[in-house]
Amino acid sequence: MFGLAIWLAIALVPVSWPLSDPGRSPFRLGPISADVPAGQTFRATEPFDRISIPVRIGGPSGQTNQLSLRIDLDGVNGSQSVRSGTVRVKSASDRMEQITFEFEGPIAVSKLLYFEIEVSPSAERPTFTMATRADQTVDGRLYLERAPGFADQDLVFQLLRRQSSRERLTAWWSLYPAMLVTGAFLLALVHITVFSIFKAVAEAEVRWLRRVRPSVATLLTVAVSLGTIFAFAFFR
Amino acid sequence: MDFGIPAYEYVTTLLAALAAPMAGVQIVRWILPQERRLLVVLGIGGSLGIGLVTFALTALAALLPLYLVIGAVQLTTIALAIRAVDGIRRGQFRLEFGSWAFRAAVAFLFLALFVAAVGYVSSVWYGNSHENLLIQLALSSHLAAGNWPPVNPWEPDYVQTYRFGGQLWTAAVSLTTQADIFVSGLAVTLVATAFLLLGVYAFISLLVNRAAGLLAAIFVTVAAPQNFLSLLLANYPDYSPSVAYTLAEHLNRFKQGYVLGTAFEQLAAFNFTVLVGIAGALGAAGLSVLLARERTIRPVAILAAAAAFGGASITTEHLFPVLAGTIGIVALVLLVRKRLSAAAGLAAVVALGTLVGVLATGPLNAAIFGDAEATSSYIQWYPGDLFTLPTREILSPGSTSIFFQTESIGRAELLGPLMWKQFGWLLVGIGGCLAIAIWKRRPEIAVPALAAFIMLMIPGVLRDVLNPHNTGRFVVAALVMAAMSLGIVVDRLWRQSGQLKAVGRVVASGLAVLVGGTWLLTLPLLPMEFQAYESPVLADELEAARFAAALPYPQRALLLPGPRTFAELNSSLGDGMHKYAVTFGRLRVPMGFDNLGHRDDYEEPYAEAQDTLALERLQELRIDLIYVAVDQISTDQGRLLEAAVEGGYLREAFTSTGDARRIYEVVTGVPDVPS
Repeated sequence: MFGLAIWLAIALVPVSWPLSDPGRSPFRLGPISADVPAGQTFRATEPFDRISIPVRIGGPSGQTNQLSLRIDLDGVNGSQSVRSGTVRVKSASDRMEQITFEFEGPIAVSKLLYFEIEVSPSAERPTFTMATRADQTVDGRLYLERAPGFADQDLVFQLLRRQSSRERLTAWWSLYPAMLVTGAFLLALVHITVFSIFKAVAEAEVRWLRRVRPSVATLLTVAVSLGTIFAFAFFR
Repeated sequence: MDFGIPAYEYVTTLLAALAAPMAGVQIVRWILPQERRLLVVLGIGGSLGIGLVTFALTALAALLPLYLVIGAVQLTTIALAIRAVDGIRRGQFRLEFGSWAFRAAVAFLFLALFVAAVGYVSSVWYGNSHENLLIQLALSSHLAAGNWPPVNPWEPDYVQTYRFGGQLWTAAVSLTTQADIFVSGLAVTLVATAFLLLGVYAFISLLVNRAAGLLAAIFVTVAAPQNFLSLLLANYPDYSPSVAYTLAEHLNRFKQGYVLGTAFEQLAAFNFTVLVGIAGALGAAGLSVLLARERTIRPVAILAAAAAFGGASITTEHLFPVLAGTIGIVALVLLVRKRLSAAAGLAAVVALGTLVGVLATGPLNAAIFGDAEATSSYIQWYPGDLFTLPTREILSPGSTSIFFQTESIGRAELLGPLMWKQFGWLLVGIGGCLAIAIWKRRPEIAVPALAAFIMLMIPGVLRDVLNPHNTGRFVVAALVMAAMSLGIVVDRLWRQSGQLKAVGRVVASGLAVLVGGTWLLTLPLLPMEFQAYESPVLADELEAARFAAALPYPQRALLLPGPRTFAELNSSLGDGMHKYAVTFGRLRVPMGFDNLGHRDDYEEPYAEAQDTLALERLQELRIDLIYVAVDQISTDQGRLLEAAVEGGYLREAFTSTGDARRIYEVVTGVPDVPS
């Protein structure tokens, strides 16, 4: 019962966690690759024929990766696309370099465009670009692996962002019921296993453990372990 | 989400799958009537039974009709299993542990099984990985439809020279219970995992002692690269804004590491049939330990061990060299020590096991008796990579580990810095186990370390030029063997007394943390595997697949839009529609598989058929059905479909409730094709 109370408190007590605001400071995103594509939606105010983005290629100086830029003219995963010419980008210093991708003809103003950096599948060096945690504008959304980026993908952020406990539980039950059930079942199994281990060790005549209540030791062990992991994940 | 699977199927398939290991338990009761340790009998017998069943199914199916073989094998195993359960019920065995230690072991086993179940289920419905659905369950599903000899669903004019022992067992469970293939795969995964871990316990218990056996089973479960150590050093802003995000998004890479291998925990999600193979191998290994102690030759035990050896080799051919090499070396050692009966027994296991493994239909048979040109072209002897292991760069050029390795390297030195950072515990486990064997003058203690060493050497002397990451699969088995070795080392360290007591226990605890740290750290993230269904229109997908499965088997289909390359096949392209269509719809898609297959025969005509939907192209590939993801086709593809329907050679046969999937039938006998 004590354990249940601890977990209910964690789930229900409204706490402002450090991840409540995803922030807009830029960070270096990558390595992106053919397997892990990155892109962004945007709205053009006038026709254009080139896009410039920050890129860095890792590895020893002088190595190159082939990159191109694809624009989906009818939004993310659209059926109509145009590709820029291929650009060979050299690894150089540790900083980002503005790389310009040029298209054959001007691209007209459209409802919502999406560009994606295409890294050659045979690229031998890691490729990085820049991104921000939060979307810069309503239209300019970061996409990772063709799904909405950080703020939408980070379920830990979703779980702990500032909201009432009722909203939190309702949102999780409606959006991720399988995750919620799995989490609860996992937690129960871990408690049972750790409890059994404490009892078994006490049974094996480890004296100091006989003075400890296995149920309290279990709750403390699991809570401290999980707490350490989560604290590390948030505060590092 | 309702998958349309009745709840009772989860029970019936589990019971049907349990028949195989329990039959093995009965066989071990006959071979070892004096053995009273319950977990040892369950471990050796259970894993032996899995090896025997996979062997029997594959070997007999080459001689008799498939359904007859499945019926006969299942009936025999059920009869034996009933006798085994009766023996246990009558209390003929004793528990090796105190009551709470036993409960702790059972609780940990359930935790391991829960993790395996989450991995398997997420691989099928949540796109956690692709191999299970794309390859293992697809072949199982087609085998259950009577596909024997096993024609490759992606190359329907060719027999598949792939490993299929585990898939055949899954099909047998499905046919016996008339259950869905997904549930049958789940039952096989859980039963194989449980008896594999029991097999590890029994094997190491027989070699060393029960504490080492218990530790070995725990370490095998949690063994992974030491990537958790890198969390303190990793340069996170290079990858993502938060540790939590990085871990959640790249969980599989984190568990897998940069050196190409797969943590045991991931096997259920990546390729559940490897669990079946390793379980069978442990049965053969456990019986071999007993044979090595015999003063007389035991023909029944030799035959059983050899058959399980063959079954494991057919199911996971990478286990063949380690079984043959390890048991063969032990036989030689026994010969030198003039233990002639024991040496002869083990030599007979290797000889017979090799024979049955090679003669039965399977990958070894195909390698020796198959297309000589094809086999000799991709496996090459290449000792130039000696003492190195392949890395993820082979699999995904340009990718890096998020953690220790920031720059791409193709191979890792076996004793180099990267190996110490990622697999320090593995090196200590192998080295420590060998040192203990020498120190204690008990060569049998070195057996798991020897097996791990053999497996780690193979990627350095063999090169697979067409599919290079295949050699990395030897590392998967090496991790299991090395975790067993570490169990022996930690047990020995913990038993140190006097001045070394404290040091021994500190080092033992440190090694335990190294081997299991990543598993412990990522356990709270397990629910993330159920983040979102791979297909947003899963109900429609399953509805269409079940319609296709109800049609007379086989049906050849073209998928629209669908993949064209192996990389696209092995992905979530099109929300994974191709995987569901081929596995649950039992469709054969003539598009070609990987480099080892016959891609050249299919690549061009299939691409043209997809691009044009021209009748002559469809007829050339003998397409019966067009399986269409309506929510994903382009405007041009929609127009092509309309034209084909108007032309009279495509007829709509099925539309799903949400209209996300349609199936068109190719109408034959249409003389003119509209331009």
